[in-house]
Amino acid sequence: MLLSLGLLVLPQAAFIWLSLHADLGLGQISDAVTLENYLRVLTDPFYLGSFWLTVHLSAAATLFGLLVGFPAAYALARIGGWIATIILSLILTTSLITVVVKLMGLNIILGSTGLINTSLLALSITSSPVQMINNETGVFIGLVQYTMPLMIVLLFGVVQTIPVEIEEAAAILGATRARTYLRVILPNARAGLLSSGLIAFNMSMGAFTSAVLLGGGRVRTIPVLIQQMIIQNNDYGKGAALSTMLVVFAFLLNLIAGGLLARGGGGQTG
Amino acid sequence: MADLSRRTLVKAAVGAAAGVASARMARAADAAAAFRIATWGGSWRDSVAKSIVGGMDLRGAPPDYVLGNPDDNLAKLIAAHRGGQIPFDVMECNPDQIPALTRSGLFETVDYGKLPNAAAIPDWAREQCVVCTVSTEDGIAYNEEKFRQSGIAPPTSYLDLKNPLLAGKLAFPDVSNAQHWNAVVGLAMLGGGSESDMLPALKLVNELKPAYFFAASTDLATRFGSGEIWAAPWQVGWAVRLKRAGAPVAMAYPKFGDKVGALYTISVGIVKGTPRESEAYAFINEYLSTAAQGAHGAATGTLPLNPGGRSVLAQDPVNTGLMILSDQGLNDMFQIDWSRLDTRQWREAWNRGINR
Repeated sequence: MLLSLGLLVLPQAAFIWLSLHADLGLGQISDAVTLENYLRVLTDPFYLGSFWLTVHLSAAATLFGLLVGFPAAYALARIGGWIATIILSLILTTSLITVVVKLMGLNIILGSTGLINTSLLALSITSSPVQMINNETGVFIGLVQYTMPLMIVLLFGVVQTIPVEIEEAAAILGATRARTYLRVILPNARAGLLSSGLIAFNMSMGAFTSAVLLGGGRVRTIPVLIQQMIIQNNDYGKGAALSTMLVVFAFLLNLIAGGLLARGGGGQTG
Repeated sequence: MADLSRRTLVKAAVGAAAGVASARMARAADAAAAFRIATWGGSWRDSVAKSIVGGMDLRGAPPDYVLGNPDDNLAKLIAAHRGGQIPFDVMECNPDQIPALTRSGLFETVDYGKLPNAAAIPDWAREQCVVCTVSTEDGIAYNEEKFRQSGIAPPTSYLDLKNPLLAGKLAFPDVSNAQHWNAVVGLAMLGGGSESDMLPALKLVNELKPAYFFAASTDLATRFGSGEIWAAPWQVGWAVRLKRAGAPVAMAYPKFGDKVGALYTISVGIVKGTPRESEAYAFINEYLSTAAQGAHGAATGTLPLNPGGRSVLAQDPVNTGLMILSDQGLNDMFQIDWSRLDTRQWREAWNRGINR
């Protein structure tokens, strides 16, 4: 509890305090307490647009991650044995590689002269290179690769808690594979899907490197603007206000999701 | 047995915490004894260590490097200053930071009587709170092989980059990249503006339609080397490095009014209140020596402000083929009047005005 207070609450409290003061330049802030920074952000369509951009990219990456990650986790959990161990170890190992290196690799592969585009051109599937980076698509791909490994590992644990016997029971009662998946497995995994999705969403909301390295300077998400305000402009007050709003938004969303989860009973297997 | 285990565990935890604390105290003591230089990482840091610090006697204060770009390091300095700390003794900085740093009182006023080697550098390089040591030479880097094959003439102006044959092949420095500033001021001038009237640049950048805006030069170097990008407003140091690696890169220096090409100076300032003031002056003086300037310029592709250092660089044909090394050439290069350019306002305008 004390550790949480020291590492999480105190820095946030310091940032919230900074956000309540006007910037005077070079990191200096006024003594007077004011809501000016919040008002400026909340009444400026540019910042509101940036918030929307951050939210919809994070939501899209999370949704895609769940759509792809859950079947992968399910397959691994059901395969089990040494094959699952090796694949999970490989997935975990990719998490140890610094995100900059992975994104630079994606930059090379997804670029106009990269492996994918040269293959598409060579096979005459496209007549000109497909723009996969330097735009929102690039950032989306970056967010998916950033969150997917953790999501698969989390969902693997979720699927393991679902007894295989209930799938067998559904099959004996005549359910098809698709029906079993939709009516038995997914409802039982609902709590895990929601919590894994929230973790991935929160990670994406704060992701900076993907937006910078794969957005090509065109995708100004909130973390990019916070970095610019604090590091380049030394406007701690306004940067702190943006940061606080990002945290509050994510926190509220988590609270709502937690409430929904509690109301729905969490989808635990009986 | 359970109690014993718990007690042993607590002892071990306390012991580990004490160990960590003592290690931290030892590191803090080392940091206090060290001469701390805030500078860039990678090959730049290596060259500072070899070409400059290597020529100094720092037995009483071993060098320690605080790595980051000048914006990051300034943020660290401000945060530490707020807590009454001195995070490093000297800091390398960008020219856009100089007006604000001079007003801020974060750096010492330079005593040029303690820098005999400063006599060799131009008058304009001797600022009140920082000393300009080297400079980048900014212009347009382009792939001469691709240009020739596509029948594109070598560029002489930033507006030459508005060529349909360069669609998808042009990169432009993002607002966080150092080479952004000369490029946008040059475009503003071409559009009838100046440092105090930058808006014409926004329209022209949008008309150039760059494939992407690069934040990191290392990233652009990768794409330039692979042939994905053919041209970019950039600095000659990267062109030199790419040329040495075998890439067919050439450099063009566009006009800025009656000037040709542009400088983006690197400076060193002494942090106010440093206990290592004598080492700080020794560091800057060594930085300005002919030997250090030549070696550092060769390693990083930057232009020495000491003429002797430029003579060292002139011995390498790759440098002479790409860089402007003469005294006259240096004097004819453009420099932004940073006191007229509101960088904060420009960043806002850039964020909002660039086509996404």
